[in-house]
Amino acid sequence: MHFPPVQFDWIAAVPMTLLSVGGLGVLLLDAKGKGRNPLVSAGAAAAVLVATLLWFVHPLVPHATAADARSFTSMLTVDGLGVFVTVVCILTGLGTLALAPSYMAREGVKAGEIYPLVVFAVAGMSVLAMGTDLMVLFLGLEIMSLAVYVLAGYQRTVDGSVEAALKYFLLGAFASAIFLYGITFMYGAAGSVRLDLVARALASDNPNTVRLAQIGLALLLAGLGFKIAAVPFHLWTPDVYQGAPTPVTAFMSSAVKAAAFALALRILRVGFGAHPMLWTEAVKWLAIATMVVGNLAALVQRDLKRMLAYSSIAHSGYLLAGVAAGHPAGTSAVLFYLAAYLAGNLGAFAVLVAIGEKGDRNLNLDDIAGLYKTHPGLAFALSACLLSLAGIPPTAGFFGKFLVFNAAVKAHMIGPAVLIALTSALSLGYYLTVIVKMYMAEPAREYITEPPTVGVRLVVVASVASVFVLGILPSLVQGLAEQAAIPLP
Amino acid sequence: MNSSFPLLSAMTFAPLLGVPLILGLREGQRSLAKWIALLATLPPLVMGVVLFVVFDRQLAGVDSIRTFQFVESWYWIPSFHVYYKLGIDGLSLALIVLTALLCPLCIIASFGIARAEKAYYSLFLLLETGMIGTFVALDLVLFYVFWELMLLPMYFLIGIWGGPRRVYAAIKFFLYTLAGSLALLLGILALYFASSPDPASRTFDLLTLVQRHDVLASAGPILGVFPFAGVVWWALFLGFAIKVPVFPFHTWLPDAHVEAPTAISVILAGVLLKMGTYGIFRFNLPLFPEYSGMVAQVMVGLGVVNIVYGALCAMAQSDLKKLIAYSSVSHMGFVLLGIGAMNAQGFSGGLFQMFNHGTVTAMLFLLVGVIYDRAHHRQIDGFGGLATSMPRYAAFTGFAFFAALGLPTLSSFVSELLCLLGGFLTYPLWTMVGATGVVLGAAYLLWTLQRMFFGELNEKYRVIDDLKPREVVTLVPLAVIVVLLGIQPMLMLDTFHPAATRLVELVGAAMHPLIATAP
Repeated sequence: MHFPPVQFDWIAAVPMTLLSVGGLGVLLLDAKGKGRNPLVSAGAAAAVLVATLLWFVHPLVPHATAADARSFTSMLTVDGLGVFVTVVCILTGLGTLALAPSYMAREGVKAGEIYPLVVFAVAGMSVLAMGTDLMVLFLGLEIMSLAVYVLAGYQRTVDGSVEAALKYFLLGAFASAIFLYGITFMYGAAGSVRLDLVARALASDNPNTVRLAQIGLALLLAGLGFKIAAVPFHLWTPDVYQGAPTPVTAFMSSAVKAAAFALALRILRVGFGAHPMLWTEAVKWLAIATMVVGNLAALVQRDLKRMLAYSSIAHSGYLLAGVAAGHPAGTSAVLFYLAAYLAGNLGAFAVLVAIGEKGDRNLNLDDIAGLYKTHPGLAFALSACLLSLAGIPPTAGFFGKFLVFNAAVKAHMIGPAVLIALTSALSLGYYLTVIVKMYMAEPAREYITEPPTVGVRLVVVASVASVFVLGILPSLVQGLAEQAAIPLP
Repeated sequence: MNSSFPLLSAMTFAPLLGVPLILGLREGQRSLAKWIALLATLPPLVMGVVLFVVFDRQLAGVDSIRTFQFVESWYWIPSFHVYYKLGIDGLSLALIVLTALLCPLCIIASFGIARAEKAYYSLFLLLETGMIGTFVALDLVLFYVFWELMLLPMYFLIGIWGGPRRVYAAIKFFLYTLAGSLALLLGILALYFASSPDPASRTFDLLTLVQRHDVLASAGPILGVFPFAGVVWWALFLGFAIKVPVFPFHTWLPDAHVEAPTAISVILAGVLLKMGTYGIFRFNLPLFPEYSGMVAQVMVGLGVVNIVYGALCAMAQSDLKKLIAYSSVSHMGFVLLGIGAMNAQGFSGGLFQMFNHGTVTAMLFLLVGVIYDRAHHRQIDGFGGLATSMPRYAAFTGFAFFAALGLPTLSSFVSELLCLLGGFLTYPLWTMVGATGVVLGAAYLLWTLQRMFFGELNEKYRVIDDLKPREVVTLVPLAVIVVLLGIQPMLMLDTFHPAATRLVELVGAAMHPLIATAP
């Protein structure tokens, strides 16, 4: 076996290195303080994330956003897609860090490892977003997943949380194994796990290669389907999202999804971009099933966290439709959608953190009745976020859906396009129910919640502001998404 | 006349300036909210008057940006050729003036609101921005954004401040309108994709689309079977018809009207219903002139059904507010009849009827609000002889009723006459049936007048407050306009004339030459 000499281009690896080393530092800091001071740990973790963010956006940083700064012998690439998704994940991580201290204090959880774990998860996501080699990608997937398994079961004395962690871990490990199995087929087909070499091997049109790669791709898609909660791989989602601590659920539903979509785009575009017939139909049907099932199931939920879990499934469906629509309109639509979804989703979960009571009580539809009378600001914020998720202009969600729709029509996928519109209308059924309850029902009970902390307020305000800014001036982010999508093959 | 000052943007967004001021009020200053709201609705009124005065009555608008006035155009979302493009012509001027006029009056009529005032007035101002924006937008995406922007405040205003069955009414209103919006959105997107085979020159710009109406007419069938023009025309029409509302999509209207607070009923009937017919004028006719000509008779038929069915329903009501709600269905039918006539009389009549119905129905709903505030019910048979205990109220109501039934020298007479005249030239049989609506209208209105104000005085209401000055203030401007336009209709008609003539030219090519003659 011949190994080419490895090029070391540390510039490309700076973000992961920053995140990993920073995460370790936060862990040590937390251990030194014996977890007694969660705000210090959260602050330190946030500082690490902000430092990484600055690395990407600071104009003085050399070729951090160069379109094809490949390094480590094409195992990592700092391209638009990678940077865009990493930034989305970092922003979600920051939101989670802002939400976690008050939530953990309310639930009586003392330990402070949650903060370094968030940083580690983001490190894994950055690898997922920028890796171009299946083994590296698998590594990123596992770094992220292991951290998130622990995060999901963070309240180890609460049955729901333990159940969530166990379900997520068992099924997740299974999915990872399937994903790994898919990689072995790829290696069998192409003789390499590097995506560009996979693409080159496929270009030979050798029937055996194509057949093996097709089996491998099916397995990879199944593993991916689990991570992005696509129907029929979604069965874990409601239980896990409901059982996990609310800030973690916010993190999982926004950042993990974003990273997994980056992974999907990378594999499908770089590895199989020249062979869309191998996957377009499959992804299209996944999208259709996910949109329909997610929205229908969300309609009958009474628990808000569970409802948002199903809504998150539904949004995976729209994103999958964007993936299936192909390049470049579909890819940039997916990226914009991820940003828009982050704004609405994080804001909604932040409000749930603010109005929940110990043990996540008070998160039923009947519990939020008349919320606007006692908490007008929170009621407005939740309404704005839910309307964005529903895709009502002038919110971010509208343009997200519009871009995906546009991409689908461009790809002549009229059926899925119409389904996007119809299921979005259907989704108003459950989003609107929440708003109706908050504004038009009489309060059923006394609210004893304390006023939200600064961190929670910050997340709520930032989310609502982004929902409207992205809705009124979508070009701000849409231009970036388009630039990020173009260099992909 | 195109000044460089962005008058239309200023008019659209001026009300929004009041929102932060209102939301910033402390608990003890809540009573200031209504005054701030009133102040915030005055700039659009002033600008509306300015627009009406300086509007060039020679320019047609409709299909060419050069003949639109007060145009503003900026790139908004470059990658999809979405513009922030505003402009007005004869189709929209009257409606903008109407909106700007009704909003301050409605704020005054809302002074009695005593619950969550800050939210109420903020939503109201947001609603005004949405309404004006809808009438001035010349880009389909911008139009849709304003169109939806209107929907949500309306939903909350009915659902929170409405009557006993408000939640039901609000949801019904929302679902109906949403279904319409969805059809509209799909229609808009279809237009975008059909606007050019080359993705780089696709557009959401209404006037570019109108210029390319022959491209649209020859666009490939949707899903391979359904003719493009037919599908998109009906998708747009469905979106607008629900708003009008055209039979059989009218069932949300009585519920929404009955449950909505007075001022919101006024806005709903006075402005929102017009958006439906405005949409047909602005989109369906210029974009698909040929297809519109083909289905003209269907529109006339629907209009006649609206006129007669609405009037019959109104006659059967025992609730005064429901009666007026159904009378709206009937009066909006005249607009449809005018559109279907496809001639200058019909178009001008339809446009004029939209304005007149806006002023007259606003008076009617304001008057219903007055009696409901005092008696806490609206059962027509629960009153009697009110003319002796409330003479001023009786006088105003009598005036409004006569305006509604189209008494000569009052404004509705002119517009209904024009609609019937236009309709008669093209579809005499249908129009004869429609004309019975005038008789039915007179019947239910006079009968109601008699039951409420004459006959034996109901002892319960021997002592009852007559109109207060605040209520008179809301009614007088409308009454003055109704009389003025009844005597001197050309004040308004000449703003419609060039646009109506241009529309006739557009659709006329596909129609019988006899019809396409100007008056």
